[in-house]
Amino acid sequence: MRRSAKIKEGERGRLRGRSLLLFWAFFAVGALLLARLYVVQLKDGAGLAAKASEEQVATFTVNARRGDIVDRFGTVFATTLPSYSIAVRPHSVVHGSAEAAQLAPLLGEPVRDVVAAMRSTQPFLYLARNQPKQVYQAVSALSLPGVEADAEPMGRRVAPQSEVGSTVVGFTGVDDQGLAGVEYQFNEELAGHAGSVTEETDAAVRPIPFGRRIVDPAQPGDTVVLTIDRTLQFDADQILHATVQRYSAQGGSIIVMRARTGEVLALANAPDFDPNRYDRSPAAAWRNQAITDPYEPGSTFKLIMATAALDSGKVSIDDTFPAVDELHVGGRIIHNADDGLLASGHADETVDDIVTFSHNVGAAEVAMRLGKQTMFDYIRRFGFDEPTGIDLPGESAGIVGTPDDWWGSRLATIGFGQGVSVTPLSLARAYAAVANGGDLMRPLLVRYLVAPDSHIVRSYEPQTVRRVMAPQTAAAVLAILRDVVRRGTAKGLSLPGYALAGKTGTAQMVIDGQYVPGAYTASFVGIVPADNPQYVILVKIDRPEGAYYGSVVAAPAFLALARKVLWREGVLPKTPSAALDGVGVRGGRTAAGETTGETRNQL
Amino acid sequence: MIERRAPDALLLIVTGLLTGIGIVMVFSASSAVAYTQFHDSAYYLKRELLWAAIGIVALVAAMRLDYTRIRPLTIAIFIVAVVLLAAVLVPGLGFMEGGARRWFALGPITFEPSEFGKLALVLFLAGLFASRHDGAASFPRAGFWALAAVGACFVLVMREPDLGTATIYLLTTFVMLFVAGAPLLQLALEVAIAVPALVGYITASHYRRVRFLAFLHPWNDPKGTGYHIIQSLYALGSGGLFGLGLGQSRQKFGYLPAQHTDFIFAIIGEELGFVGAAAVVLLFLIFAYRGIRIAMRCEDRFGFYLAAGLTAAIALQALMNIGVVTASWPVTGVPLPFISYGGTSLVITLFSVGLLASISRGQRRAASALPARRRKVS
Repeated sequence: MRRSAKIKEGERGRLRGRSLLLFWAFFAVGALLLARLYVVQLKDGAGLAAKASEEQVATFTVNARRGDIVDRFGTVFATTLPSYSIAVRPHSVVHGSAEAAQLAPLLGEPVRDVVAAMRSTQPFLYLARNQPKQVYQAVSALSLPGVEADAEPMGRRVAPQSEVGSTVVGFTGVDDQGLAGVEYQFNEELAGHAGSVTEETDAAVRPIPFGRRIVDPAQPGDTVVLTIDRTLQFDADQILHATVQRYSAQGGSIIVMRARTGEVLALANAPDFDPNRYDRSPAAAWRNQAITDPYEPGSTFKLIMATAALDSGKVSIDDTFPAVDELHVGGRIIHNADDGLLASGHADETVDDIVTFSHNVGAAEVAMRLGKQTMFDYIRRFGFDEPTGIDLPGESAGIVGTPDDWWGSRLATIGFGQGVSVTPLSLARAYAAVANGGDLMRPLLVRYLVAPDSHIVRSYEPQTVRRVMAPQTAAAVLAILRDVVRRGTAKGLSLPGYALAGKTGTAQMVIDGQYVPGAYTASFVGIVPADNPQYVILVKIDRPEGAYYGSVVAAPAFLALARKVLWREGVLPKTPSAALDGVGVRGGRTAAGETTGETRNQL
Repeated sequence: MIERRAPDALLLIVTGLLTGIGIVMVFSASSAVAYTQFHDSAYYLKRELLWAAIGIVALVAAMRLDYTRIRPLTIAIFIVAVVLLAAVLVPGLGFMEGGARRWFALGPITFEPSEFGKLALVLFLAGLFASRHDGAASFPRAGFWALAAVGACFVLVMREPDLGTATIYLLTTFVMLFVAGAPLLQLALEVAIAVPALVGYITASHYRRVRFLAFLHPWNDPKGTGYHIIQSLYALGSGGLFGLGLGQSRQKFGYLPAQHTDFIFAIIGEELGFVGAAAVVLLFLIFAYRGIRIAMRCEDRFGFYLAAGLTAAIALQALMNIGVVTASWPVTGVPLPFISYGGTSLVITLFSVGLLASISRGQRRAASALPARRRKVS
């Protein structure tokens, strides 16, 4: 082999020179790279790090459980249950038909549909959503490749009471946001606050080991405790629907209110809906008509005329008005209703007589004697010109106008509840003011907001809006309302062992600004027990067929519900044995006959 | 008899440090991906350790070897390398991964002929230049053969394709021609031919041009051609001065591609900061300094050319890799010597260091002028 030649002296210098040049070239490139590192890591480092961090960190939302809506005793009206979705990733499915045969019966779907989903070209398909836990467990137990069962992030909102109280409770939409009723009004409180988990993740968005993790826990929503009593709500719903059905009516409302506090114990509307399937009912059924729809109250409004007359001092309880059945006012003729209780034949009548027999002519005369301003003042004192302030969405004020636009016969007709519109709730509250001695209350629907840890976040106390009338006036008007039952339009209405008071109303319905012949609103607003007034019960039936007098259509519903309310609330009858017989606890024809007589005498 | 000197200690210390950093960083950079892929965080570490052990054996063996004994074999080694470079392109023989056919797979062991080819090319060129008293001064006798050799290797490696390694071939050859005394005019001519040819080749395809130039404006296409570069800059920028701490890289969790191979330097910058990254650059500069010093002290031509060539091949590759990672140079994927994961690369690099160490030891010489043919103990 050739020996590697020794480097000669002249050659060495040349080689060394080029080698040194090479080294300095390397050194120069190295220095440039160090400068570049300085720029990237130190000068621009913070900016790049911030951008990198943006990419490396992911934030996941943790949904907060929505609070419940419960009645005053904790009975659940709306709650959120865990629910599950069943989905399929068709490309991971082994057979298709075999799996479908197992799944279909669990999901209650036709096998054919499930097979089709399994063979779909989509990467991911839901087979079923919002399934209960049993379905989730059953599907998980099959552990079929390509079939997934997962918890729904929001859970599922359910209304265990279905239609009962539905127009009050309302419902939620697909994202669990309240769309109507208490669900809407208290949406923020019910929803709570979604939390989040912010953590460092890998490129596939999986948390990295020992990465930073910031947890902002979700705050579950509060529970809304209503003033509603589910038992009475159920009774009110049943009685309302039975009445509506019996008279083939268009609809109606019932309100049960505690007179002293303004608490709403029951509020029913017909039509109503099932919040669990709200989309199957027309939107009109979602309305809480008792607060959203003013109507012409008719004779039940004579309460306002009577209160204004007596409280203003312009009319005394003994003052009389000519008893006639026709009156010419502002170019129209006012008639008394031909219900067998006409005024003709009597010499004259007091305010008590006018209300008791529901004489429109008398009411018009009283209103005209009071004058526009006094009448208007009392309408405002009763709060008919504004929403009552109940904690529900969409409440409407009454349509009362101003004295300036009360021309023609309007003052006269307002005296008997025509030419004025009010909501059932505001009318019930006016009766409550009479029952409680003259205080106008803000209707209470919600008692408490309760946090998930059971502490009371907020307590809603009864609120007096203003004093409407002197206590003596209230007592006098209440006495008139007792006369209505004793000898007037609601004569014969009795509940053994209890004193009753109330007022009938039969008003022509206004539809699209026109009085519709033959279309009436039949109503009754009662106060029980009349000798110790505690509850106001308003029954309003729209467009009944076959009969239309309030005393015929609405009063029996009032009576049936009054009995339920009094017993539920523990208000004992004055003559216990008789009352017990009346509710069927104790039978006996003789005893019944006696006690009925006794009660009549007592009333 | 004058015994051989002790090997260059600093060279070996730098090599040890770089290899050590490499093993630690391969583990750190690969653990997350290894766990995802194989449910074994140490999957790559174990293999890297095995290769490092083989590499150290190769280093020691080469160090003990009288490097002059390789000289007669350089042509044969080069021919073997060319054959292997050609064979790897044959489907069925070469193993395809990531769109490139670069490996022979023998069961779990893979072998990358282009790494071996780099060593073979340097050996061949050193032998070629050493055979002439004027080195590469003569184009027909030396320069032509050098270009022919590198041309063959370049074409084969570009067929894999592996632009990075092919570029290293060209640069190493250029450096060796320069050191071997090729006339500057000849070198200038070669550059004047090679650079436009390369540029022409790259810009002929829109895809190649866009990818090649992406390092200038990575933010124009952050999800596409700019992705590697941006992720690399994110890693380096996150490191700051002192780094996030060993093992604390975030970019290794699937964000930075090739995080334990071609882009491992970015993870070093992220975990060890500017301090760590600069230290690695300095270690490579020290390595280059010692390598060139060894060449300059060598008393025979073959040793000189071999030391210069081996040093150039390793240093060029290191600078190019760091240039890519810092977005100073187009993305031409080459591993970072000593540090990137990769068995063939590590073993060949350590063997090369062994040769450098052997050259640093000088030759055993007889006290007389006559060359000694045999040695008893080294």
